[in-house]
Amino acid sequence: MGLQPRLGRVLRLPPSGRNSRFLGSDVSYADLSGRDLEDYYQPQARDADENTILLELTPKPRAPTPWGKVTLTVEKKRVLPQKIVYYDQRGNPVKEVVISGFAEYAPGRYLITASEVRDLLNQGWRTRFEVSDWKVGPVPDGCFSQSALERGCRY
Amino acid sequence: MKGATAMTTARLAWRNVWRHRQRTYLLAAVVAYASVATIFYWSMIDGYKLSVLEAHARYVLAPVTVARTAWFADPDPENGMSDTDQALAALTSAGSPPYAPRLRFAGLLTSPYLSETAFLRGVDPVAEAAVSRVPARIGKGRWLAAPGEVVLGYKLAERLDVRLGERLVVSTAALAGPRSLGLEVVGLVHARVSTVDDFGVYLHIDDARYLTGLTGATHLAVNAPLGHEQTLARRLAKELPAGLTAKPVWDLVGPIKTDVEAGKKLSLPIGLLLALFAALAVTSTLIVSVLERTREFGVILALGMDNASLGWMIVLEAAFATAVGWLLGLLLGYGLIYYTSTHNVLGPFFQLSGEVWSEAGLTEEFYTHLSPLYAFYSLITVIVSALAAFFFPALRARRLQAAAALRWE
Amino acid sequence: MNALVEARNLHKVYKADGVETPALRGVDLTVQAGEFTAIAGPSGSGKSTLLHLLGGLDRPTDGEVWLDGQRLDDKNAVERARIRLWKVGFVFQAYNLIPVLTALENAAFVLELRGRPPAERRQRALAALAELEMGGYAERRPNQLSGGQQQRVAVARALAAEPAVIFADEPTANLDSKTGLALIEYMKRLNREKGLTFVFSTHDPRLLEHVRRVVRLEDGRVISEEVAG
Repeated sequence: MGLQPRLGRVLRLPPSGRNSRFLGSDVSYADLSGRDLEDYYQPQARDADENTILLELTPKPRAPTPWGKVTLTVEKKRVLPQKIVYYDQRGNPVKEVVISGFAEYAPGRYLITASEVRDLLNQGWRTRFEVSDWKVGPVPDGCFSQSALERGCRY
Repeated sequence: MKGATAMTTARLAWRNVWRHRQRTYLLAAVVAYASVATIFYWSMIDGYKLSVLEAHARYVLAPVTVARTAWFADPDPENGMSDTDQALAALTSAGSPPYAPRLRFAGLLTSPYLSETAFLRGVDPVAEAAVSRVPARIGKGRWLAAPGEVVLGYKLAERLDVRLGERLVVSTAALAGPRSLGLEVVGLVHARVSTVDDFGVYLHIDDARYLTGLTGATHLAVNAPLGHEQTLARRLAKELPAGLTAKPVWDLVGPIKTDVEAGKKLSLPIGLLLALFAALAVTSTLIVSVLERTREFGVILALGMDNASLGWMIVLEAAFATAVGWLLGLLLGYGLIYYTSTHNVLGPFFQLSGEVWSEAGLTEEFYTHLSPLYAFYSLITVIVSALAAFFFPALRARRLQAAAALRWE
Repeated sequence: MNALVEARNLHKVYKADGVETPALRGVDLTVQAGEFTAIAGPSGSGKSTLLHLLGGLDRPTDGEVWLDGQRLDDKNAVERARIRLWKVGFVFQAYNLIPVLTALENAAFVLELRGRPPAERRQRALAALAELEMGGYAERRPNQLSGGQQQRVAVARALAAEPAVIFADEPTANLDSKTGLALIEYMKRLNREKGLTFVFSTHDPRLLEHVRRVVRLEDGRVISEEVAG
C-alpha cells in the first residue's frame, strides 16, 4: 500500500507488485516474502551434488512475475535455501540472494538470520540483512504504530 | 477636347507595372512577404489549437466521453459502469456513432529492473481503432489482439527496459482487491504525442475487468469528426439517463483549454501588429518609388495629364503590383503551410520551448492548419496596408505642380 | 490676324519660406501662328518662367495669358492640363523622356494620353521620328540614345501631337554647340515646311544668328525685340 504522488491516489498492491526497491536498498518486498516462488513458478531439478540441489524455477503462463527464471540452491540435509538467483527474460542474472544464517526456533522450523541481496547490475551494490535478536510469539498491534516502528517495540 | 480617360490611365498604369520591373518586384515581394507572414501566422495559431485538440481527441482522451457523472469527478473504477446498456441505448438513439468501451485504472508496472505507476487503459482491440489513432501508430510489433497482451508507449518501454515478447507485470487494487497479471508486450506505440509515448499502457479490456473487478467499463469513447465534438456531446447528453453524461474533449483537457484560448486572444493584437508592419513596409516602398519618379510625373503633367488621373495612375500601378504580390504571397503562403501541415518541420523547433509544449499533449509533432480563411485575412492585411500606402502617393500626385516637379532633381 | 500666343503685363513672384522672389515684372509678348521666336537672356532672367506661363504649366501672379483665343491664366489645373494636352508641345532642357518607354512610345505618349487608337499613334509617332531622322531608333530606350538623339525624340513627341505651338525651354543647353545648332535647324525646317509655331529660349548667343525674331529678357523684363529682315 502506498500513496503514489504522480497518480494522486493510494494504490493497494498485491505481493507481486512489491518488486520496487524497498527503502532504496536492493531488497524488494518480494525478496522478503518468498511466497511468490511457490505460487508462480514451476520447479525443475537441474543439478545436484553431495550437499545441494539446484532447482530452476520457470514462471507459469501469465504469472505476475517479471523474472525469466529463478534458480534456487537448496541444502539437502535440512532442505534450506542457500542461494536464489533472479534472471531477467533475456537470461541475464539481475539479482541474487545469499542466505548464510538460520536459527531453528522450533524443531524443523527455521528463521533466516543472515542474508545478503546483491544487485548484479550494479557491481558492489548489496544489502545485508541480519537478525540480532528474535522472539517467538504473537506481536501486539501496538508494535505496528509509526512510533513503535521508529523507536522499537518492547513487550 | 477631353482629358486622359480612365481606360488610358489604367493602360498606362498596367504598362508601368511591367516597365518598372525592379520597383514592381520590390513592392510585390514586400506584399508577398506580408501575405505569407499573415497566412503562416494564422495557420500556426489554428494549427496549435487543433494539434492540442487532435492530440487529446485522437490519442489522449476521446472526441466525446460518456460515463457516470461521478466518474468525471473521480475517475476511479469504483465510479465506472458495471454494465453499459443504458449508455449504448442512448448512443443508438443519437445516431449510433462509432464508439469503444474503455476501462481506465491506476496501476503499477513492474519489469525486472524497475517499477512505475501509470494509468492503464483496458480497451476492446477492434472497437478502439474506430475512435483512437493509437492502434494505427504501432512503431514496433502489433496492436492488441487478445487478453494476456499489453501495448506500451515506446518511451515508457525504454524506461522500464522491456522489449517485445517479454513479460510485464501489471498490478492494481480496485473493486476486486489487489490483483496482478503478467502480460506479454506485443507492441510499442510511437504516436509522437508525449502523453501516449511516455505513459501509454493498453491492455485487453477483459484483463482490465479481471484486474479491477469492474464488469463493464469506466467510460465509452465516442467518435465525432474534428470540430463536432461539442454538438455530439450535447445530443448524447439529452439521450442519457440521470447519472450518466457525455463530455466533449475540449471540456476535459482542463487548464490546457484556458491556455489555448488565452493564446488565441493574444494572437489577435499580434496579428494586427503584423498587419501594421506589413502596411509600413508597403507604404515606405511606395513612398520611395513615388519620390524617385517626381520628375517623370512632372513630365506627364506637363504633357497634359491632369493631377487626378496621375493620382489614379499611381494608385493603379501600386494596386496592380500589390495584387501580383498578393497572388504570389497566396501561392507561397499556401505552399508553405501545405508543407508544414503535412511535414513535421515545426515540431522539433517548438520542442525547444520544452515543458509547456509537452504538458499541452504535444511534443514532437506540430502541423499547421489549412483554411481558405487565411487568404481572406491576408487580403484584409493587404487592403488595409494598401489603403494606407496609396494615400500618400495619391495625395502627392494631386498636389504636384508640373512646373515645380520639372525642377525636381 | 489674331495672335496665337499673347502675354499681357505678366508678373510672376515665387514665394518660398516667406521670401518673395520676382521672376517676371510685366512682360508683354505676342506670337503669331507660324512664327519662330527665340527668347534670349542670361540665366535667371525669367525665360523658363515665361515659357511655363505661356504653356499653361503655371499661373501668373498678375497679367493675362492667351493661347489660340483662350485665356489661360484664369483656368484651373484640370482645364489647363486639357489645353496643354491638345494645344501645347513642350521640349525641355533635360529632354525629360520617360525612361522606361521606347523612343516610339515616348513620341506617341501625348497621343496615347489623348486616347488615340494604337495604329494611328504608331503611324504618327513613326512619321514624327522620321522627320527628325530618328526612324531607325524607334525601339531604343532613352538610355540607349545620345543627348542629341534624346532631344530629337522629345521634339518628335511634340511634333507627333500636332500642337498649336511648341515651347522649347533651353532645348540645346545640355548639348554641344554642333548638336545644338543641328537641333535648331531641325526645328527651323519644321517651322518652314509644316508652318509649326516654335517659341524657344536660350542663353547661347551663337544660336540666335540663325533666328529671325529674338526677344531679349533681363531681370524679368523684355529689354529688346529684334526681327531680322
